[in-house]
Amino acid sequence: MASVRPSSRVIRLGAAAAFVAAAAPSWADMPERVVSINLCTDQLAMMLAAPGQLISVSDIATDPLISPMHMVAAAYPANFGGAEEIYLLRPDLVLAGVYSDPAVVSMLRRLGVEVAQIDIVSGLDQVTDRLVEVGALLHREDEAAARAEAFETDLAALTRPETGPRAAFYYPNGYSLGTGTLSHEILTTAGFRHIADELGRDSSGRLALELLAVAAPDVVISTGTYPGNSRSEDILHHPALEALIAAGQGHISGPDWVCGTPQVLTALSDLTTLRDSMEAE
Amino acid sequence: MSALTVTDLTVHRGECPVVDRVSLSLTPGEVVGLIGPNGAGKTTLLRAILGLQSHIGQSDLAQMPRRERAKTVAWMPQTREIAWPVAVETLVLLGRVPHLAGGARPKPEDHAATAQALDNMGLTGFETRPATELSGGEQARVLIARVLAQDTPLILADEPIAGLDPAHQITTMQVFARLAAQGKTVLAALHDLGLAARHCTRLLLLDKGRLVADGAPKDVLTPEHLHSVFGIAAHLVETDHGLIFQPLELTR
Amino acid sequence: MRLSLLLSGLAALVVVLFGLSLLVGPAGFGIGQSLSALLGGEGEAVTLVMREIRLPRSILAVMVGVSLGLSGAALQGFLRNPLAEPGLIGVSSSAALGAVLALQTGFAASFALALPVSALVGASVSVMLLLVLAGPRGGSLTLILAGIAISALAGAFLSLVLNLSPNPFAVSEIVFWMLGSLSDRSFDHVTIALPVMLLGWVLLASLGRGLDALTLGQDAAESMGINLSQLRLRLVAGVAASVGAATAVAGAIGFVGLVVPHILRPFVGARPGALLPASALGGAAMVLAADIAVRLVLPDRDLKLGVLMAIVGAPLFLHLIYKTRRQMI
Repeated sequence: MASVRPSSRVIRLGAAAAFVAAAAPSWADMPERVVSINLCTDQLAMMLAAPGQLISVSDIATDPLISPMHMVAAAYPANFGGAEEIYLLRPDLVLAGVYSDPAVVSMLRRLGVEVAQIDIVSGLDQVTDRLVEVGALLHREDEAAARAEAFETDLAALTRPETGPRAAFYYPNGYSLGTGTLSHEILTTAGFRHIADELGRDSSGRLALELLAVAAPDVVISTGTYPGNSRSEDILHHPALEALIAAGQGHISGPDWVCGTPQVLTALSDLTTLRDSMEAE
Repeated sequence: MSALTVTDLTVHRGECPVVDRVSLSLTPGEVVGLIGPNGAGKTTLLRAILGLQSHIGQSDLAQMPRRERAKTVAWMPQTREIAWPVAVETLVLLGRVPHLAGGARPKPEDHAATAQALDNMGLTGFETRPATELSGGEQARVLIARVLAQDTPLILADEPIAGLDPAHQITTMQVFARLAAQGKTVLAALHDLGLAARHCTRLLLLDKGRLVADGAPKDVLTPEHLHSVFGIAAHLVETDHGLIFQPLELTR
Repeated sequence: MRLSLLLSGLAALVVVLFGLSLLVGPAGFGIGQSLSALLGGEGEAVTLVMREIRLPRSILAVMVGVSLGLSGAALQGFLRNPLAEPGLIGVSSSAALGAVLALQTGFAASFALALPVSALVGASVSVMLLLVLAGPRGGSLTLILAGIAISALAGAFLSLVLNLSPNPFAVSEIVFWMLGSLSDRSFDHVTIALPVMLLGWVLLASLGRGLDALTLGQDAAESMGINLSQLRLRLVAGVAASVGAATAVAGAIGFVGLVVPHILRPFVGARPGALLPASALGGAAMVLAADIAVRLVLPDRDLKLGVLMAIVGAPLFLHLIYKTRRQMI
């Protein structure tokens, strides 16, 4: 069998990985005790870590509404992101987000703990970047590269031209996403048109229900509700919103949409199924 | 026919009887003065008679249903409260409340009764002035006018003329006398023994909750009673100008 | 001024503000388009917005305003104190606590009116407590101190309950409960609030004659045939029902019951019975006006009604305290 030349993209990623590995402080061994205090780094760590390498993930990693790997997370001890608590775990490496509590991050660093802050994913092209970045930090580059390649392949298969139905996101408190977000890219990659483009909304924020009604999207993407009650979630049951959904379609964006993990492929394939069924009508 | 009958009325505050087995009966046409030193129990007695104070014993007013009682007796309390700056006319018109059913508006006869009451108390011309802006004496007259407007066969008043100037004190007592002549009955607690002597047809003397004397002024204001109840000696004489009473000196 | 003239004027004001409220919103429709969609349109976005978003919101503003204005006038008439009002004396916060407890424990879902009834119970506890503390004549100092204590206690428990909720959004909603808002309300809220509110309005409207008589003090009023204990009961039930239902759907909105009776008192000749219907209409006008203003000032954000009410009401409250300071102690 002729050898398959790796795609140019993977070559670039390999080079980046080498650069990261060279630039990182050199450990004699790979970090043996890794703690993750951020939902997205939780996912990457659970995916890439060697057995026994990851010793704690954040408590929200078990939340089924927002954590893609919530079932897997149940096996790990939970932490609540406090500096004292983390320090007492004696970690070699702490994985945090760029918006993690700055007081905690700086305290840990002052105490001599290595903290790596991983940026959020706002586009599908960054999914593999983060995989490689975390893979390098965990000294699991091969694992990362394999997953990255698989992701690229599957992504290409699920990409569609943007000629499909018009969709909108509507979350508790009337929160709607802008065009500069990962979810927007997932939506448009599956071939939907996002009303945020029409409305010129590049950042996320509250969208008045009236404006959503006037935009009259074909699909309204919303979320599941938590136990207990909150007024923020009341709007998801508003008669006007229910009328819009009845006239078109509703869709639930589950945890796979959250954090740029390869799980977004599940989200993409759900959307593709939805689009196919809508176009069949 | 009795305007008011009270039998063995007793009010306890803790152990002490503040009002102690008081019995009395009033007939129409009387102007009765309830006199006694401070703390004798005059206010408590009047409130018990009205049924506003819990008591033992019988008072035919206290046993009446609320609405009927309101049309039978008008009560002027000693605390002269006027909570809001309403117009004088509005305040006096409140006396017609017992005669107005549910949400009914005041009728011409209610306004007529109000105007008559204002006239009796010399307040014609004060109708639109806010009651809270009047002097103390004027406010007292407005409150008396309210009682008059209520147009009841019986009037109970607690110190109605305290703080009024002499002319208005006399006018008020004369109004009471006129009402009595029409067949009504007035029972007023009074501090001024001189006025009580001159204008009342009958006096009730209360001391430490007990009804000590009941009768015509000169029969009640005897030197013995004045000494034992008030601790004073006084000059009481019948003249062409009526009964004159003047306290003179302490006797104890 | 004749009462009927005043009431007609206020009613006309309410109608005008109601119309304006229907025409204000982030989706900038023209007047003609809005009205024709409201009255006749079918199935289009404009109709949906007008009938399901703007109409219930405006109706709710009127209902809440009537409840708060009426309750304020009734409380002031009974306590014979111009500083009494449901927000200041802690009734609104207790109602909010009742509502939140019902929502977080799931009781609110058990029958249709469970939510406003729970708020009613919360409100009635605080009104009764207040009447016990403030005594037969609500002296200002006692009233305000009791109100501070009740508000603080209710607010603290409210925060505790929200913090204990399994729902991550709940903890930040104390702002809604303490400041109030009419945004994103629907006819669901109108239907659950209306029955209990109507009960409250009927009870409070029946207090007119008794409150008039109370101008002369408790003894005189009782002697004129007013049943004071029954009056007190109707007051407690009426305030609890109307403020409870209003708070259950819109959060605690303060100062309406203080400002409206104060402004209208000179126009009704200070007569407490006449102030009841006037304050009901005045309250509706005030809440409608405030709700229009929050949509014009910050159209994209959910500016809480309580913010505007406090900006108008708190200075007035300070002014009233200053004016009555000699009678305070």
